[in-house]
Amino acid sequence: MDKKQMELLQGTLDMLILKAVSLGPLHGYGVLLRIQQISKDRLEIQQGSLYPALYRLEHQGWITSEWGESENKRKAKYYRLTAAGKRKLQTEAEKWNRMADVIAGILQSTPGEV
Amino acid sequence: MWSRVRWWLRALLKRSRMEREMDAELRFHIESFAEDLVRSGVPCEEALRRARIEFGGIERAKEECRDARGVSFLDSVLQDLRFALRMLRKNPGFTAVGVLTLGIGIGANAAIFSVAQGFLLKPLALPQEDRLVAVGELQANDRNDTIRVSPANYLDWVSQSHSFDHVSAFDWGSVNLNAGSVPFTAQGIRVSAGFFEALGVKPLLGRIFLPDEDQPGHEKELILTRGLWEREFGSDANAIGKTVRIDGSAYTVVGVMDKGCKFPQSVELWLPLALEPQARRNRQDRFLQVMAHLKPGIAREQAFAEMKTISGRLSRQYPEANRNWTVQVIPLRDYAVFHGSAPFMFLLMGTAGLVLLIACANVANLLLARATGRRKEIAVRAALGAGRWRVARQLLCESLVLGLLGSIVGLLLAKWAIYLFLANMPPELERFVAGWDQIRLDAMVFLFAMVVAATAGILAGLAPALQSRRPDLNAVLKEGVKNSSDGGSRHRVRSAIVVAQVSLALILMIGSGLMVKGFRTLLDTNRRFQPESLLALRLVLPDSPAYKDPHRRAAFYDQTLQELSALPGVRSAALVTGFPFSGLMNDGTFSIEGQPVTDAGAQRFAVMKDISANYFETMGVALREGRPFNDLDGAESRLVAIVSERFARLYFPSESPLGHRIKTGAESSSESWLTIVGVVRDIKYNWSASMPEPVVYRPYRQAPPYYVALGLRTEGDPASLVPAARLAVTRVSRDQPIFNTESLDRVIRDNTLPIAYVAAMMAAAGLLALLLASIGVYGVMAYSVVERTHEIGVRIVVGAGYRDVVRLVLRRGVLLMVLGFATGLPCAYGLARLEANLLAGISASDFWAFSWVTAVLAVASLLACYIPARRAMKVDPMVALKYE
Repeated sequence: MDKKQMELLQGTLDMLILKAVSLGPLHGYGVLLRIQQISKDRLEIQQGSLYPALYRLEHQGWITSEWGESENKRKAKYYRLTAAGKRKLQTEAEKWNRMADVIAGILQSTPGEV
Repeated sequence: MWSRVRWWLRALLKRSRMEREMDAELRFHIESFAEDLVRSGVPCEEALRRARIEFGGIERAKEECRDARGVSFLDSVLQDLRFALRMLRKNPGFTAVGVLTLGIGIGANAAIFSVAQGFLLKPLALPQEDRLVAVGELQANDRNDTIRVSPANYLDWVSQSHSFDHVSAFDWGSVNLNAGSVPFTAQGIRVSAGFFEALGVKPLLGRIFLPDEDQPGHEKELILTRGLWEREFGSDANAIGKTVRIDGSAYTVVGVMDKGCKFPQSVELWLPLALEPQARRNRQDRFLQVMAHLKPGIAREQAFAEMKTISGRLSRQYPEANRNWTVQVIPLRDYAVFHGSAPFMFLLMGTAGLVLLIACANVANLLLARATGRRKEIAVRAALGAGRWRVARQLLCESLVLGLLGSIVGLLLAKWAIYLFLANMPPELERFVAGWDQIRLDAMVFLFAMVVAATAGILAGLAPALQSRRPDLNAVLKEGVKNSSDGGSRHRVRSAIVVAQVSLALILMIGSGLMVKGFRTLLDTNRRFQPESLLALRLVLPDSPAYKDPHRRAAFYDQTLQELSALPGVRSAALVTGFPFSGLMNDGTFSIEGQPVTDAGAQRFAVMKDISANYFETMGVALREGRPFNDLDGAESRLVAIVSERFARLYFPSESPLGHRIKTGAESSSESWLTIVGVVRDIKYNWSASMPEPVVYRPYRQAPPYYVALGLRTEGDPASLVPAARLAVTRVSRDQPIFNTESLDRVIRDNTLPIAYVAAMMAAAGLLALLLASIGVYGVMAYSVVERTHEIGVRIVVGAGYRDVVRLVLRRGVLLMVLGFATGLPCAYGLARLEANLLAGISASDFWAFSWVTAVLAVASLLACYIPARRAMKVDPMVALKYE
């Protein structure tokens, strides 16, 4: 494993999963790969916590699942974003961006600005 | 919202499918991961392992997934249940013992609850039971809870009260009924109009009494209970309109009431209560009983307040008759319940509760022992991520399942017990016991059994479950299963349970021992009457003009006694107004000449018996002083009385009562003075009295009663004389029936039957307690020997003799036993004091009973310790040392 991997911030896994499946239906393992791929392997995701998060999102109605055939010709459960999930992702992303802006602003402040 | 519910339902219904899907999904993940690893050059077998490690705890992830799905609680409970059933199936011996033990405890509770329910909770089974009240007068300082009222006061109540929509008076009276062939005596109740309206019952056939049928001259109708109708009228619908003779007059059957209507309890037929004008003015004699139906919206307390106002007004208006009398309004249910039965029922329910506790303790110990064996399993489960609460819940679930299985066994046992209980009840007694036909396994009993089972399951599982919450994972996983290094707290808990068990068993056994002994004492006090060879029969003279004259009644008894004593096989025939323990009280107030009562309320009570001259001789009771009655004590001679020793001690402590004069009723009453001519040894008439009552005997010729009991001292079997006796009575008066023809022995047994039942049930409970506690002690001792096999082996190797080994094992057992006795004895004393108040033959300081029971329990527990100790003796040191 790459020593430079960062641990995921609390509460951000759900948002990343929503984002990952918003690009197209994915099975659980695919979600993992997709996030790692987009993050260029800089994020460390606990595989064990991925599935509870998927189940939770499905239970809340933001994603749905159906069984399909995987690229290696095996049965796999595919998740896709629902309309509610789409809205959720939007608000979550906005919230995140605002928060990031604010925090970045604070961290970049210089003695003269305060 | 709806979609979530659907999701939840689907999850619930297709739980196993979802479980399969989850497995498939995770397997797919890990295998895909492994394939990717293989592709990146990792060897095949290594890849799968790496994939698993990278993934982390699979079981934990699954558990979290289930949580995320939102059905997890129910889900895991179901899983717990399945697991529990699997565990129980895998250990059939353990399961059988646990289920049977709990089953016995639950069964005892369910059976006694159903009996108690019949006796106490729903004795009447009337449609509007909770709106019905009994109203009665009582004296200001009277503890007595009879409900009696004089006719004039009753009529004033009816006209002045507004709380009731129906008020009805009733009066008991046996009647002699002739419906064709053989005359018989039946329990009749005379009721005023509105009686059935107040009860809220409709007749099965015919009609109820009309409003004017309680007027003198219109009262010649009767209504039958279903029982009497079936028995004496062959369930014939044409019985309505039939004319029968009651005490010599013609009556018409107008109705039949259904089974549910049995009030007052022992009723067989109802007649109208027609008060003559003279009786309507009677304010002194309180012989009526009153029952009323509350108006809608009126609470019993309101009715009581109104009745108190009315009663106060009547007291001021008629001070000579009503001074010191007040009123009470009680639920009719309380009136119908046999007064003495409640404390006995509570005693029995408490007993059953104790048996259940002992059973729970046994199962708790079994579970604890097994939990020790399962420590490794539990530690593994904890290591795999099961929370502590989760593990505890699993164990509780197992004991809960044990409890529920036990309730099945228990209900079967209860059904059997109730069957035995009912099957042994003499049919003639059945109708006198309130709520008798209500005793059965119904929904309430079922519910009760379930609650008891759940409680028992939780109680039994609590200790092991709490213990499981603090496992030291590392220690447990490293050590061997059999090693007992953590024994400390577990041993303390198990020892505490055994101590509690021994002490509970001691309490119960002493309680039941005393009850059985008390019952035996009760029966033994009557041995001196030789009741087996005395035929008792009862006879009630009709309330007809023929017997209005006391001389006519006396003459009838004279002739009857003559006829009876002339029968072959009869040595003597005696008369008394009620034999000992026959349930006939005959108590009343009396006054002593020269000893006026200071307080108007403090009246003197004594049992009043009218007897024939040969009564004491026939009963074998010795005279202490003075002379017996003789044939010269007739209506024309001086009025005389004989009193009992206790009477003499109470009222003439320093002198002989001979020559003193007493009278029945108040000193101011019109009764004549009786001169005391003799003192006789005590006879106890009422079995529930703690001491023989003071008794006044009068010769029957000087006070001829309507109700009598006749006793024939026979040479052979008393029962064989019944037909001859019946014939002899009809020779004197053609229509005169006799009833309750039984040996005095049977009479006594029948009347003490409730106590016999209580004693038998307590004896059974005591034996169960002994058995369960012995098993408990044995279990713990046997287990501790197994645990200490290694240690014992070492001791034998370094030179300990067999004697030392036995002592080692016994020491702990004896210590536990002594602790149990030390805590149990004071409690047993408390229970004994409680019982001493209930039954005359019981003494709380019965040293011998306490010693005997303690000795029996000690021997049983020592035996329970000795068997494991012997096994310890036979330990082979070589085997023991290799035991690790």
